[in-house]
Amino acid sequence: MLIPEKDLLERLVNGDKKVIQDLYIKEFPKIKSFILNNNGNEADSEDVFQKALMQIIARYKSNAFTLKGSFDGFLYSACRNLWRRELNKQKRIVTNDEVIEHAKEADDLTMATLEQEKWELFQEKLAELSDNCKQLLQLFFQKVPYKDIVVKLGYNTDNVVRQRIFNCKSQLTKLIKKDSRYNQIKEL
Amino acid sequence: MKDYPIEIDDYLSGNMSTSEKEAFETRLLTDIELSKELKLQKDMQKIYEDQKWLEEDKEILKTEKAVKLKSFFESNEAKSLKSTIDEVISENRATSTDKTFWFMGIAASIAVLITVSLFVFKDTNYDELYASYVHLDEIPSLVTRGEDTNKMLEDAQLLFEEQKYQKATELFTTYHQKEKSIDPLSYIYNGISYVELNKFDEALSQFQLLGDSNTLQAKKANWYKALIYLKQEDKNKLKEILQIIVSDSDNYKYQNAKELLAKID
Repeated sequence: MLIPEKDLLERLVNGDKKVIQDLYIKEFPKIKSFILNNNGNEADSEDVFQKALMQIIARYKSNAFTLKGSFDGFLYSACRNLWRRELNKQKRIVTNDEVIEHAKEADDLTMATLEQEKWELFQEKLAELSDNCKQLLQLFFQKVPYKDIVVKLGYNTDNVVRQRIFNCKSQLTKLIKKDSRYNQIKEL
Repeated sequence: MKDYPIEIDDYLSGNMSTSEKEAFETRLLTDIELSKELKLQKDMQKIYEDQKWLEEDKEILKTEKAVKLKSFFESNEAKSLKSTIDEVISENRATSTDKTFWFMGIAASIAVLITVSLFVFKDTNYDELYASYVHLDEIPSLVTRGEDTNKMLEDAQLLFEEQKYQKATELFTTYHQKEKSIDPLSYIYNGISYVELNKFDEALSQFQLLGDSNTLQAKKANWYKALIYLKQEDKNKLKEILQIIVSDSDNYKYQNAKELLAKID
């Protein structure tokens, strides 16, 4: 893309058609193929692409930020998460006698935006830990039993693993709580 | 380095005795700090597990940040940005050169053939139009890879694919009665099965349910209703619903609706 990344956000926020077009040509195919491979169709992928751009614009409007990584990775993760969110929602709608509440679109977009921000914050903080902690926590969150972690990573006892994981998770918890963004997106 | 109470781990992993668990839950009722800590640890589990999506409580909409975001999403500025993005999507859609190009080419030539035949016979063949627009391949599968799929749904989809529509509708009906959590795609499958059986009222009610469901699929309801009227050869109702679809270029199948409207007139 010829547009420098630092200008890209600002131009996007101002509704610059050229920028949107470039993004569509360059980024949309990847997004579409992700969604087609995950139970979606073309219309879904267009919907997600549009919502992701709106989400990024809204975030920038409410608090101008500079990107730490690449724009395409940023957009892709927003799209990927929006689609995961949608699949999640489809799984648990309730019909029959219960009245379905029609969530207002703006409410839903807002929730999705805040969820995305939380997701980004948590990923960023996990990346700051040592490789050993990351590895341990990855196994922990995938619910691998302590005794299997002992074998896999060559520790002595369950208890050593449990203690080590607790330390890592404490560090992670502390990092998250310390970040000012966490206080903005946690419930009152 | 204690930055959260370790008993939360025991609680979440089910490593508490019944009495410990009860005591912990009693504490949760009064100890706000503890319940906040629990929420954070639960969020971490969900996000890092990378299987489920963390859907926030509606309470979060009351935060200052949420109010700010929401007022943006509701603004006219957001509306106009949204239509700019949609414009770009629809303008570029036709010129994309990936593999769907060939399918579109084939679909276009079928459309041309149908249009030609319309001119030749000077009579709108609704059945053929229905066949050219229904696109069964566009409906996402009910069977999700790597996840537990409801056995009833799996069987029903199979019946549908084998064109055993009567049996399929019976199974979908049982599914709708028995399950509390309904996959919205099942309405599409069931609705089309009813259309194939020429039971149009039943079909319509399925798409009504789809339209009322609070999901991404809901926006497809009008298009499927249009297909029913097409199959029924109910020109007035067909026109009515197509008009609704073409009233906003954001609507699902906007282009197709425009095309179809031109063809039947």
